[in-house]
Amino acid sequence: MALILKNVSKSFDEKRIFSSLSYEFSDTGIYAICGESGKGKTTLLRLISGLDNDFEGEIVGGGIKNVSYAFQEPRLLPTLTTIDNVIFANHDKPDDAAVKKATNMLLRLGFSEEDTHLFPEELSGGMRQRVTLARAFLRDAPILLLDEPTKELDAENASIVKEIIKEESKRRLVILVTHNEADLSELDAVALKI
Amino acid sequence: MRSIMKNKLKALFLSLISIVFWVSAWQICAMLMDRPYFLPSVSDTLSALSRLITSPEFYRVALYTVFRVIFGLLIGVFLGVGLAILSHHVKFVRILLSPIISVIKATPVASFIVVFWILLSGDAIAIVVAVLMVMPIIWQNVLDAYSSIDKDTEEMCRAYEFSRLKKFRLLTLPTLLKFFIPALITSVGLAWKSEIAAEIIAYTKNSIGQYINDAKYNLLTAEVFAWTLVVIIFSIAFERLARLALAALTKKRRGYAFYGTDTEKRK
Repeated sequence: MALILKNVSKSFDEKRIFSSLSYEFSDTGIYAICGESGKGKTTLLRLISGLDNDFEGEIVGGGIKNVSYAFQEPRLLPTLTTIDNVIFANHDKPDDAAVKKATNMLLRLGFSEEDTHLFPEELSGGMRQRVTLARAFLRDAPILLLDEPTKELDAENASIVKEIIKEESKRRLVILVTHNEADLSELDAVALKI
Repeated sequence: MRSIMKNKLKALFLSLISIVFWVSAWQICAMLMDRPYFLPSVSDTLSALSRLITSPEFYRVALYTVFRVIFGLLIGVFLGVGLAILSHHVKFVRILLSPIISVIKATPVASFIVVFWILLSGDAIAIVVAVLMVMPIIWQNVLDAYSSIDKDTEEMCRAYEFSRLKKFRLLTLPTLLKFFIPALITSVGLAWKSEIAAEIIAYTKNSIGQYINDAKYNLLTAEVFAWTLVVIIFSIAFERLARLALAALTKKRRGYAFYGTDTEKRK
């Protein structure tokens, strides 16, 4: 089911953030929400994700069940290891296949086998962001929301992440927020300015 | 590994030196004062202690006191946790309890003992006072733990459709334990202090406090010191036991055995 925004408006304490946004997304592909800081890019992702339902208008095809969301901040569970953070976000009783899938994703994102058993407090900022991304990439949902996915990453890891985003966009809709112009052209993303 | 062992041995050695220093200082002071009724020597205290522990009465009395401490501690902990959970979920309960908890925290132990002396038996006073000392600490810490749960991480749990049980197991419980463990360790010491104070003032039968009181009236200061030493040893042993039990519990929760995947690999 396609994601459709119908006259979506959002205000915080009577201050209008954006108004009457309407757009119909296709089922696959990459869309990048662009705009200056404070224009409500992350807010729009939150509305699509169903985490914030306080808005005017209608969003069809969004909501928690349809979305996998990589937040801008890591939001990792501090008492779980890296691998468990990825696995347990998406499984209650993980089997060997789930463990293998999570391990492969983390290895692809530049983690060593040893790194996957570190706790979040032992990781660098870039590593934490990659765990957040791995968690989102592995959640099975028709829409993938990525809030500044390459912000904390070095060139090499950013390139790996963009490669995975391209792969994901072939099977599901990817909507991302980015300030990086180069990312837009490299990902061949449809830019949506708000 | 070798350097960790070396550091542990060094720390143990330094602790021993510190103990030897203070025991020597006690012995020297006792010798200089030469007034065993005011300050008995180390050897007098140790011989009083050996007399105590060889009498069958000692074990009966110690057991009653230990039982009361455990009972008071458990009731205080369960009440503190239960009321904190209720206060977290029902704001009115928190508003209702806040002033009374503040009053309990500010009231001297001796005042409680005297007030309850009129109303309760010696056994009950000791237990109730321990409960009143432990419960507010646990209540406050569990509530602080609840408010320290990261809102962003809670939202992540929502976004990834965690069940209530899964969220409790992976986010709430580890945060609660982080605050609960130090609170419980503090409570163990407090339970012992308040228990003995209550036993002494209320003259609780079959208690260490009763024997300390008797020794004091008969000017058997070495015996008072010996009983106090027993209380200190019990209190430290309880604290260590609580630490060990909680360390085992939290270690398991951080590992793969509890969550199902990562335990064996993590050393």
